[in-house]
Amino acid sequence: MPPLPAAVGRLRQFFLGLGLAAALAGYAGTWGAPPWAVAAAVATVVLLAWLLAEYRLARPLDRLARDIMVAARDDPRHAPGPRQGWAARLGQAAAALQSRLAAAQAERAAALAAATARTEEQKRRLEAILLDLSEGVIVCGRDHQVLLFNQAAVELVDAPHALGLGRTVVEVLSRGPLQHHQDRLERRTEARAERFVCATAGGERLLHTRMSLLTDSAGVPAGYVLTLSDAGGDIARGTRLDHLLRAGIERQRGLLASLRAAVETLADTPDLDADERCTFERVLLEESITLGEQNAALTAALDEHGGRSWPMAEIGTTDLFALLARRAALLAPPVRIVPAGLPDWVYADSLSLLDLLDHFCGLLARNFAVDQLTASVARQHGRVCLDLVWRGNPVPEGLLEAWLDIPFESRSAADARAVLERHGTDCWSQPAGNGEALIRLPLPSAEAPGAVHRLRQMRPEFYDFDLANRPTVTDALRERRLRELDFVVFDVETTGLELSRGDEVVSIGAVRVVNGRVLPMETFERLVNPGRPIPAESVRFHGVTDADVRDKPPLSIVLPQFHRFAADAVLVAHNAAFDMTAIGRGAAACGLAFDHPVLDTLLISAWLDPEETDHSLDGIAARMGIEITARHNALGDALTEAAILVRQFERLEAREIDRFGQLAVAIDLSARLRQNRMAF
Amino acid sequence: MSASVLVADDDPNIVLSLEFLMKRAGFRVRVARDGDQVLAALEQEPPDLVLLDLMMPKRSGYDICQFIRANPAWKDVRVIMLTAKGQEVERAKGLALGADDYITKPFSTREVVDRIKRLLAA
Repeated sequence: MPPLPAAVGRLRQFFLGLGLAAALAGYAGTWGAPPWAVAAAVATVVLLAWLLAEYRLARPLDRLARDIMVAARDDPRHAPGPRQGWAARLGQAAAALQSRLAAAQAERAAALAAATARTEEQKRRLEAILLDLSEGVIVCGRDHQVLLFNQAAVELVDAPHALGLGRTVVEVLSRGPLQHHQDRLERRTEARAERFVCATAGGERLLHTRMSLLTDSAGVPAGYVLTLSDAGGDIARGTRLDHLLRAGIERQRGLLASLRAAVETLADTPDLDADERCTFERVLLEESITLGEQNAALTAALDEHGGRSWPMAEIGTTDLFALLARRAALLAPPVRIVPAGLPDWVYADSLSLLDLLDHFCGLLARNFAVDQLTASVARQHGRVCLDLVWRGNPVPEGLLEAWLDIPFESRSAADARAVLERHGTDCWSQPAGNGEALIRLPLPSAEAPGAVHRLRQMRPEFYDFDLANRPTVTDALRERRLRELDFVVFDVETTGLELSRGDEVVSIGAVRVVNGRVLPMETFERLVNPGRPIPAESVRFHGVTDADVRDKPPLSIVLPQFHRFAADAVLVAHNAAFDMTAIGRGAAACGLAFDHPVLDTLLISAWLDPEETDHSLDGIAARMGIEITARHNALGDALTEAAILVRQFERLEAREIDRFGQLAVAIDLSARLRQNRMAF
Repeated sequence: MSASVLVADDDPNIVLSLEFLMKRAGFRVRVARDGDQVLAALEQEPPDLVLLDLMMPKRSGYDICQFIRANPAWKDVRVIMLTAKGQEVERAKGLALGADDYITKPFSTREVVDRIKRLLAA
């Protein structure tokens, strides 16, 4: 037998107890009637009350509960009972509530269906638009994961099967340019899109690519959209036109030269005999006719091939050399790229430029057994020259010309000559001194994006004669050649100039100089929380604000890191006593000692050019023709100082100072002459 | 003895005027019409000066200039590049490969003669 519902069971027990109590009472003869009659009467009453309560109240309540559970769990349309009995009103109330619930659920389902239909419609429209676009579109997350793409994109890539939702886009497009331009966009808040040429991953096609950054509601980069079109035709057309124009202009120059020479000969020599005069007049006629034909040919070429497009953008040489280093390491045999010198910015198409540099690296490795190249930058006639330097002899011009005719191994419709023409340049090989040679590639210069030219703070000169006689300046060090030593050139920015009154470091920037070359990849750059407000007049100079350093570590954390970076090196700074004082105070507190040997570019400059009055960083850089394109912050200044130091070594060597000891003596002398100690 | 000039250009009309003017200016003039002829002329008797066109058949003017500078026997030979390549970068390349001077076409014949005289006097 199934157990009774709980409410009914309890009621039954209750009324049983009540009946028993009444029967006992009757038996006691309270009423004077025979006890069995009293007991029977009481029991009958209780039985009736029990039956009534069970069927009119307890059972309907149990059914209601059961029905509500069914409606809530399984079927919202299940009508809850009961319609009669003592719980009838409760049943009606539950039914009303249930019908409202069912209506609300139906409304919600309808709204959801409508919204889904709208979304589906929008999706269909978007798909139709994407499908209709002749350009390929790929939407990616920050990690290059594909979120959306269209059919045109599938047709543009070499490996259509590799393009799929959730897969990575670098399976179908070259990672280098994508990563390069994504990094650039994420760093440059003012620019939201970049145009460039990107090769497919297999290297079979070149695509005009536009990358737009996607951001979330807080403005944080969330991914990017790529718009792609085939660049092969444009590039081939542009390359042909470049070539036609250049060749045409050069041909016209030749014709003009003949014409002018003939005219001047006729004008300057009135005593020409008739035959001679006739000869030069024939030249005039022939060359004028050829010039006319040339002009018509150029016009026709312009009509036929006009409308070229080749996206160029500013690129930092640091990025360029880092990309080259990765590619050159994969060559067979591999080539190690060592970037050197001050970073600069060029206006170029990074991919084709990398192809060309990579092409040279491979050919130098195979033909000249070069396994290491120094990649450096020089400014010449307003252009930025990329130099690949190796130990050995220059490449003969005839051979270099032949190299330009060898197709690139990697990819691209373009060849070496087309890349040179595209950048309006040429390349050559020449000796670089010290048994080294270089290939030089001049390129249009560009302004560093987001470059801010700030005033440089004029610090009072400060001398510390102990710098030249530190315990680390041993006799062995004095005998060592300057070019053999490792230097760490550094600069600090502070909250103010009065270090003795509590001004603190807000940033440290440093770069290593090894073998007489600046190593722009070996840098140190940290912002420091000074633990006090940065006055506005200081922000004007270094641009570091309270907000910039709020979440940055204090000097006690940064100094040990800098100490490790500068280990075993000679420290160099401009007006070094200021920078040494600034870091020296904090160093003592963290149990460190910056007892490195120290050089001062200001004092070297004063010794080299005693007649000059301006030994500021800007003044020296201007005299040396060092273009300051780096930012005016601690690292930017350190890079400029490093470039100055390298040039100073060249001038010191010319004056037969090439050992540390000789230079220390010269600096000491210079300092004593300029002695003008001021308290900070 | 008068100074000797080697006019190296493959354009006969420009050679005609240059040869005529050089002779009038009192130089001994020889003519070469391609890269190989220039080298042959150099081997035969190094001139005091080469007026060197950059775009010649067989060997480019750049190539010849670098070749001249690599040979110590020709260290006294002056080289003036005479070219239709007018870009600054081409001029930089010419000077980097050892040219003493660089003249862009079209040019004034008087200026060419002046610059040759100045260079030979230096």
